[in-house]
Amino acid sequence: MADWFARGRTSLVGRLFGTFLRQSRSIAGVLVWIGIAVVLAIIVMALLAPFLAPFDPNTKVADPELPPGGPFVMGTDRGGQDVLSRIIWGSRVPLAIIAVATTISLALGLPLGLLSGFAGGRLDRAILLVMDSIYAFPGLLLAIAIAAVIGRGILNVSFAIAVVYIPTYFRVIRNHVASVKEEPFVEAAIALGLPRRRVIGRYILPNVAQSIPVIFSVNAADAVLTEAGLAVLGLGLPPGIPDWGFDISLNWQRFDASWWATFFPGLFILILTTALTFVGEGLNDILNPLLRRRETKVGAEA
Amino acid sequence: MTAVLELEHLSVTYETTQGGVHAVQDVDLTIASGSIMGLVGESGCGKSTLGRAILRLLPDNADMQGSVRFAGRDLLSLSAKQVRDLRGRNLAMIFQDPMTRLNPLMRIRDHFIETIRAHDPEVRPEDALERAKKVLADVRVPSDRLGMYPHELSGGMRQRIMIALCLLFNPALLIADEPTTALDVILEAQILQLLQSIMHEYDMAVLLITHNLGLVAEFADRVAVMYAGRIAEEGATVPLFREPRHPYTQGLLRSVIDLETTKLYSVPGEPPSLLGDSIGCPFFPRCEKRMSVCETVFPEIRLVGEDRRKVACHLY
Amino acid sequence: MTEPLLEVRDLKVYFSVYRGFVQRLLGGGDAKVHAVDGVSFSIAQGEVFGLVGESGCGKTTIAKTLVGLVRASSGKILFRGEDVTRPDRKGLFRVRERIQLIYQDPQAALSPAMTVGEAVADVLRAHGLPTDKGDRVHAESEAEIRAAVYGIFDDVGLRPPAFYYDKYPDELSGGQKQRVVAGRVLGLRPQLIVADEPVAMLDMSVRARMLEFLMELKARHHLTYLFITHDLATAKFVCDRIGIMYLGRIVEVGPARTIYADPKHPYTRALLQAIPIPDPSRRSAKVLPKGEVPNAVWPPGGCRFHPRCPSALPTCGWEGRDVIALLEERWLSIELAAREGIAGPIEAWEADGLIARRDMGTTDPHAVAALIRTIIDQSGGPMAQAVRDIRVEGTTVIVEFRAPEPLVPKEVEGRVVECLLY
Ligand SMILES: Nc1ncnc2c1ncn2[C@@H]1O[C@H](COP(=O)(O)OP(=O)(O)OP(=O)(O)O)[C@@H](O)[C@H]1O
Ligand code: SF4
Ligand code: SF4
Ligand SMILES: [Mg+2]
Repeated sequence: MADWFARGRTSLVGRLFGTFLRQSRSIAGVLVWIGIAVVLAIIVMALLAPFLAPFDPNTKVADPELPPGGPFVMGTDRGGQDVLSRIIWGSRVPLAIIAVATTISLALGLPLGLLSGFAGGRLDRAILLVMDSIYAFPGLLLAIAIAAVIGRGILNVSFAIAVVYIPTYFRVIRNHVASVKEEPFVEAAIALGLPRRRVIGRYILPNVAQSIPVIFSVNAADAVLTEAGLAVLGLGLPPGIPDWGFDISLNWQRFDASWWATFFPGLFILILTTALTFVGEGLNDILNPLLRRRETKVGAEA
Repeated sequence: MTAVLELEHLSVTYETTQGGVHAVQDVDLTIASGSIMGLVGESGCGKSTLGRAILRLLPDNADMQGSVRFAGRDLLSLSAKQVRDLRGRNLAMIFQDPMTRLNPLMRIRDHFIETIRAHDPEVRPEDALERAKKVLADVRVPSDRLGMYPHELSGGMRQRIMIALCLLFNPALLIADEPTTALDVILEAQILQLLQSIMHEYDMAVLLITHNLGLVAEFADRVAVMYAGRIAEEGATVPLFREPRHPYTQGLLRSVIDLETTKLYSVPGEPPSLLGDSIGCPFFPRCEKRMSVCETVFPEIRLVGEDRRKVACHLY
Repeated sequence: MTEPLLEVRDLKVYFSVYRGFVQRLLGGGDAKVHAVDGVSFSIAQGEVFGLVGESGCGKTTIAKTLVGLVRASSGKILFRGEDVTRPDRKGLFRVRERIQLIYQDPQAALSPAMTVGEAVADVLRAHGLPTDKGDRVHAESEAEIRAAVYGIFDDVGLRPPAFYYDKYPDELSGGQKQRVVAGRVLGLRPQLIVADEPVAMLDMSVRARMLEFLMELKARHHLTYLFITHDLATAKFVCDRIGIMYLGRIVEVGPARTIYADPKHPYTRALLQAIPIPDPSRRSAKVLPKGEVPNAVWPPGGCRFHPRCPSALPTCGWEGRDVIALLEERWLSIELAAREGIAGPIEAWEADGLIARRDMGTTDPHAVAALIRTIIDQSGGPMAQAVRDIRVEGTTVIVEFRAPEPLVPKEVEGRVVECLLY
């Protein structure tokens, strides 16, 4: 399969996939596979929630705070709702937020990073200043502030989280562009008289694109936690929508009496973030060309 | 004449995702004390790997076989700590780009103090500096450079300082891996003249790794020509240059462009990949004198001619 | 002679060095690297002109200035008589079709994320396909571009072209990559190719093939080359005329044959002598120039080579800092440094143009002046005769030199040399 991708490799995505597949048996590759499998499983769970969940997540189906056992595999919470069903339904929220938030921050952070890194000079410094000041805020705090202003709802929360992560994309891409820009092949492209847009799009972007999946997964992991944080503070989604973070906030005061109602949602948050981190760190090892180049340099020492 | 270093059946293989890279294969080499051994070959033929293998400075994915006898001890049987102690003290190495070997955030003086105290922790900094000044004078660097940072120095100065750091403990063998490749001709000649005068003063042998045949001709006592991880030919410099025996050595010598070149020559084909196993002579695809045996039978090293030169070729 | 293809007149390229705010406050204004400092040469149609010199002497800066990657600070660049020194955007586009650059490291000059076929195709898409009439038309289809790339690959010896089109640079050898780079440039049908150390990164055993290839291309496409190298031996083989550069200036320029047969400038001689000879039976002691190429921010006064020149004259530009360098060199010997301790330490000396001085404080300045006089006399070189006087003013010892003789390029036996010996 690596070969198949390698053939269709003029496309950027094909090339990244090819690189990954060729090294997918290394330790990093195995990590990525594990991470992907877990994330996929959670996605399937979210999609099939209506069929998988044994009970309706929002109705009282039994006595409150029944311990795990019997028909309630993970017990019931203080509202008498089935914890397992709520977890299954609740997986939709983090996934939706990851998708929306990371897309927004990518859509803004990437072009800004490209522009800032390529243009350099005053423009670069101005954008950097703005980004740095966003970055300087603790992420959760900023998200709280934004969420407090714009209110609840999936889109709003996603937007609040997106703003927090724009600087991450921006920073990584910008620094990467600034270093790739110094490479002779970029200068050569300029010397060949290629238009600036083309130089950025065809010579610089493909050489920084490796970092995108990496930041994506790392940010996604972070986004899950931030969303949970917002939910715990009551700034997440409107009540009623099952959500891991919200469930923790609902039940954690009763941890002594019914630990399961807090523990299981927490466990799933942990699983999802760990899986995403696996993907991110693994891809970083595999795709990061600087690391790879250093490896070959040891040999060539030219 | 005593040998400072004897390599026997030394092989190094790098494990990579594409398979094993046989960077050094079955190399036998002896360096006499106080002499310069030139190791030449093209990029990627395994010269640096050989140099690093002697110091056991290989990356984790390298597997090393054979024996490295240094001053009568087999380095491969020593513990990591014992090797570390030998490094820098009895065996030293300089590299092509001294900038990457000096810590940019440390003054030159601290490099000296640190190096000395790594081996003799008791030495007081003042005494270490006295020693530093002495070796610096030997490499002709004014002692006020001690207060500077690496980036404030020129390339030539940095390389001199690297050499001075190596001289601190009077090593018996200095491995110089392309020490002048980053430098211009005049500086290159200066540094090699310096190395030559210092090795006499310090009674030190040098393994000079380079791709520049001219340097070897001017400075080395013996030459080993490496091709695809193996020694193709090895012998005293003068007869080897006068009458190269291995077809690769012949081709390499003919391809040198110097002021007297009247006709250009290239060895046909491209330098080989070291990936995977090969049978037969590694030079076979490019050799103008190849025979049918060469394709299937590996040519063992033989002692050829009255200078008893080592040659790995079926012609002899 | 007919009008030259390229003419460079008194070209200067300075780069300002960023200095910290405090540094700027302390020492008047920004420092400048004098990368190219008054260079003139011309290249005739069909010629190979070599620029030879050590790293940092300004060769690559000239190359980049010619193709418009770096701005000239002053001077003129004429291409077929037309001024292309500071082209506007459109002019730049046209300059780039006519003057092109081949890089030293073909690996670095190609994007690792682009197939080599695309690398060439991209240029054709931007500039259009050259036609036989000498103009360019935009390609009708991708197939047309691909066919044009095949034609170019065939031209540069990458055969069969279809086999190479979809390869990434990593998958080609150094020589093949250099062919791709050459092909990419040829797609523009340039008239002048600036080749910046085009074989330096290649293995010895295949270098000659690349040189032959470049010469073959030149003949086939009626090209003119500016061939930049640090290797006098290669330059001898390929160049019709050469210019030897030192610290931003051309010190000797003329027909290659004349210069190699009888180099006149002391620096040219030093370079030639330093080339290692691959024949151990002809080893000989070399007299090398002292020290290293000085910093181009503060190039030496007078003749820039004078601190290192083995034939220097008293009029070559001796100045204050040469005294400091002399003391430094001398005090490498620990005994001498101890014996002459009253004149030290080195850091206490200060140079200012033709003057070197040191405030002696409570030490007897007359004793130090006498000591310095002996040291300079003992050095025996031309520097001693260049001293105007060594005097004491208050507690300060001052060494002052005579002003140097102005240097002008002179026609000497068929070449132009910038040296006071002639
Ligand atoms: N860490 C490594 N992992 C995998 N392969 C390596 C490693 N280090 C070196 N190699 C490979 O081993 C071979 C020999 O490399 P080595 O650096 O010893 O060659 P060299 O003769 O010193 O080349 P050069 O003249 O370019 O310095 C090369 O093919 C190189 O790519
Ligand atoms: S063994 Fe055969 S192929 Fe190898 S170098 Fe000798 S003649 Fe050539
Ligand atoms: S002018 Fe000539 S003699 Fe004088 S220093 Fe310069 S090169 Fe040497
Ligand atoms: Mg090497």
